[in-house]
Amino acid sequence: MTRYLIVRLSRALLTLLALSFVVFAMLRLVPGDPAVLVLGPEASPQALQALREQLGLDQPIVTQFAAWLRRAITGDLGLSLRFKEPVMPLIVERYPRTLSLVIWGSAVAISISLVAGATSARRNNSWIDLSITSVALLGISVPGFWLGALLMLAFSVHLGWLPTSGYVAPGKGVAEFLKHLVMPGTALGLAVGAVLTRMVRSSLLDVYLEPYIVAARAKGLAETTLFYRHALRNALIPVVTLFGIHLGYMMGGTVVMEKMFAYPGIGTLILEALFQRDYPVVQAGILSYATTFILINLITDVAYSAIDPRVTLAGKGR
Amino acid sequence: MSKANDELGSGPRLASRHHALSKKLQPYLRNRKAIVSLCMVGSVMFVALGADWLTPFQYDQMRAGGFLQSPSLRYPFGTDAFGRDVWTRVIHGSRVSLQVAAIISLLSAAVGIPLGLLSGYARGHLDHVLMAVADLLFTVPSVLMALVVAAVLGPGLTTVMVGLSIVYMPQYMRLTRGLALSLAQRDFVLAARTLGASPGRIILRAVFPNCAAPLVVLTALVMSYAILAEVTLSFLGIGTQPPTPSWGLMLLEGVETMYRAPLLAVFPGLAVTYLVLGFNLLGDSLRDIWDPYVSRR
Repeated sequence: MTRYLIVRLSRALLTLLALSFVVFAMLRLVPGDPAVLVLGPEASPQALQALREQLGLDQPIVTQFAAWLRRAITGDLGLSLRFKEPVMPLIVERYPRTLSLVIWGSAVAISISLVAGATSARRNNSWIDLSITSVALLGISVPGFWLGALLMLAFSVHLGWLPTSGYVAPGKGVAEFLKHLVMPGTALGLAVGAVLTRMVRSSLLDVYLEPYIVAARAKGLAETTLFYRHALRNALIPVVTLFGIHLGYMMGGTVVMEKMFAYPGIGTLILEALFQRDYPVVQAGILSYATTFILINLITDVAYSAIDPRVTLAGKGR
Repeated sequence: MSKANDELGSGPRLASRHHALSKKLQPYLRNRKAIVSLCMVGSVMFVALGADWLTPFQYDQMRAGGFLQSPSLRYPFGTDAFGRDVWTRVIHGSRVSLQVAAIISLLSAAVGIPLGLLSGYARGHLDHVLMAVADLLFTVPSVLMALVVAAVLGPGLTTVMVGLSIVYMPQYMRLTRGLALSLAQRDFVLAARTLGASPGRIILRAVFPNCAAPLVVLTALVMSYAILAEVTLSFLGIGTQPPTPSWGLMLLEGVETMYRAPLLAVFPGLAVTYLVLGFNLLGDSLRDIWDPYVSRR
């Protein structure tokens, strides 16, 4: 198990390293000279050259990346071109906000998909199965942020119960914090929940065909015991990995949901920085997303091996 | 066609060909989902082609004094904040969505399928390297990839197409590779190799045609993902730029005027959902027809 953890962890770090390099290299392809961006178009050639040397822009890209990496490890992600301030505190301030969206969304997605997917599979081909699968199909066809817009229309414009935008720190009032979180978080969760419901259902249906289920049923085991002890547990094994992947994709969904609800998280930070050509912030924001994404995948892999004792290194059965 | 059949002349041959065709079409005609989804996708294509004839105004025609009107006989979906007819813009928006999604799936298929065939048939080091790249790309959510590309190329439709093609390419690559891997072990490929066919010929004539059905299913799904992603990116402001009527941009404008004209945020969303649902159903039903194991449930 320790060996498994070490290998998984180093693989995750490698992925992160490769991704950082790709993002770093791509942002170096941006037309326009960062030195000009900082100093403005009227700067003297000497000043530009001096800044280029200071920023290391005259070095080969791998050297630049190595220098950036060395600083990044110590928590120094460079200066924001827009605010002329270190990037790290900006990320640290906004990261928990985006994370709370993802946690809320995951809770919604997981609970919906487990309940709806299981109900649908247990009542295969009934009217309830048909309605759940239809709603789920509709759910994967709807743009997630439009669900957010519809919630906003209902609960803010029509009923006036919830605020349309903004964020309140939990320290300044938990109720207000939740009021600002509930709509974007739920919309995020509903979209992913629809995908996961379909997966839980089809995984359970696969398991119901297995010989050990037939055997358990033949010996007269109660349906409920059969479902919880034998079917659900085994059906969850493939689903856990998919949960990980889709909860990771949810990180991408936060960008649009934050824009929809003017929620000041990492997503809106990246968007604003993008339009202001503030590349250090774009890079740091994207990397914070990628890190979370890779972490989620790592956690699912470990969880996976905990549920299924057959899983060892590289997915080989013993 | 056998030689005996040839000598019967063209009449019966045509008839038998017609019979074969209708037999081939039968599973599609019998599948209600397939019919419904084809009608859904087809209707949007029809509307996109005939957009100029189906709309009473120009999509960028503004009218002073006609801002944010409610739906009426003259403006079936009302007017937006610039006094433009929303019906006209929703209809024209179908063009952008279909075009962008088609280009994205073509681009990602054109790169992903050959790489997948190569990876699966050649195996070895090449396979390892290509799959490592695909796995890496797989870890990046589509919105993030588009953000990085937008940082390099600037906002616009090119960004959307390039960014999303990079995102969906690994899907084609993985699927084709998996199929090629298993097909390479089949007897008919072995037979072709024994007869001395070149690897290129085997890949093109024996392996690739047998990948077609799953690839068509994947394309229907990629179309649905791409339409959703284009709408999302345009909503973020890094996709289609105004005044081109894109459903995502219209949703953005609709959300801004939500308190005064709530319906503006509804119609474009309904259009997206209708088209994406059509492609999802199409993918599902084609898989049901071609893969009877799954269709049982």
